[in-house]
Amino acid sequence: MLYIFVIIIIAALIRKGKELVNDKKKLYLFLVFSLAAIALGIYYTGNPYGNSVMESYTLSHRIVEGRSCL
Amino acid sequence: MKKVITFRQLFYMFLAISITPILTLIPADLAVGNSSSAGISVILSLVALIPLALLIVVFMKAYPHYNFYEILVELFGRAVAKVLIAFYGIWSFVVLSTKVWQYTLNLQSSIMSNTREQVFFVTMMILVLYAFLRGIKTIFRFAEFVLVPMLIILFIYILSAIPNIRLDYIKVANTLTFSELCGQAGYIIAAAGNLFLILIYGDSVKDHSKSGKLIARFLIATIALFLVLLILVTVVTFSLVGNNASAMISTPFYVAMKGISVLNILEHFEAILIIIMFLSDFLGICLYASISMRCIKWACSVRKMKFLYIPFAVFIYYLALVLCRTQFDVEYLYNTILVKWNLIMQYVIPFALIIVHYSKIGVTSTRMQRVEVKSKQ
Repeated sequence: MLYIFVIIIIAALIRKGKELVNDKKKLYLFLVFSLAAIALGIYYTGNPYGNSVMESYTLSHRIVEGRSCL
Repeated sequence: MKKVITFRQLFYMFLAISITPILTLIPADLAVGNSSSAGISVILSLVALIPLALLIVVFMKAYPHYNFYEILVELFGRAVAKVLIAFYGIWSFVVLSTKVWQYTLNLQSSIMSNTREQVFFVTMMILVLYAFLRGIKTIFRFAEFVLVPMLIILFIYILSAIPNIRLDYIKVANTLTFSELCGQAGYIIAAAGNLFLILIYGDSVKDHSKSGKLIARFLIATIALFLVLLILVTVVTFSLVGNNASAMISTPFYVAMKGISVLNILEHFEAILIIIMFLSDFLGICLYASISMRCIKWACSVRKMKFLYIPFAVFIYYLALVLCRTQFDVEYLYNTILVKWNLIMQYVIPFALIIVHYSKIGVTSTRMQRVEVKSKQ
């Protein structure tokens, strides 16, 4: 799925290329969101059955609670 | 910004996006107590809803044709306004991810239990992208178009459930303490806080000249309809399923409607509810995606945002998947974090704004008086 999304993003980049090159702010925004999306995608596909952010948060919360009980 | 939205469309949009929380989240959250405590919580929620409505009227009157960002700039200056808008942007990303998950879970827990969440995400992504290509005006018009049929169908459901109501399930004395009731009211307030989002579209509203009475009338009607629908759905759900069972089900009203028949002729027409929830979720996702886009636009001072649709859609897709992986994660995120975060963004900050607004009015009026006195001297 990530590969498909990367191809779609590249296609969008090519399609909007002229508009993005003319306005650097737009280009940076495009790159920031694309790279963030790809980074999240790599994190997710590299660890599809691992903990989510919320699961990790609740786990750490429970560990802290457990320690304080001890 | 072109003036493309009417007041009616704004309020219809609020009611349309509130239907899914009214059918799913709020009855399940209120089921911690019983029907009496739910009723008291609804009345308690008015303590926050009425001031919010007044706040919207004050801002709409004081800053006609201003959007939320422009109001912030007027009150705090550009730098602080941008920081606050960035904060709103992050909040809207998380709300959007949660909304996508809630729509997925509604479908998974009702009719499509074996379908993977990615399929729902991609389907919604395509639909929202298509709606965005048509423009925000189309989305608001769509809300105006679908709200009345949705409400009529819901009232038919409620009416057809009346013969099956068990009064012994709802005629129960309240057992919750005041603080617990306030906590329950918080869930209603967090869902109703979407009313504040009207300010974000302040610059797009067509008929500002009529303001005043018109806004007040629409606001009263909208809040009244929201609360009536909420009370009816909660009472019907509790009286059919019982509050203990409702607390354990993610779609209690849907489950309650499974056993309903109309005149012993029509049965199992609960599937229509799924369509209603889907439409409401679609509009909610569109609205929050639009708000996210507006926040990015204001924070980065960019005019047109079409170039960002695809990277943003992929970003939200993976953000939703990374934030939560199971139904329990989504429930934890919403009940523990988002409800409080919603209260801060939709009530605390706006009320702080109104304090600043009145203090500024005071300062400017005293300055004017001094200038007048000096000029007389």
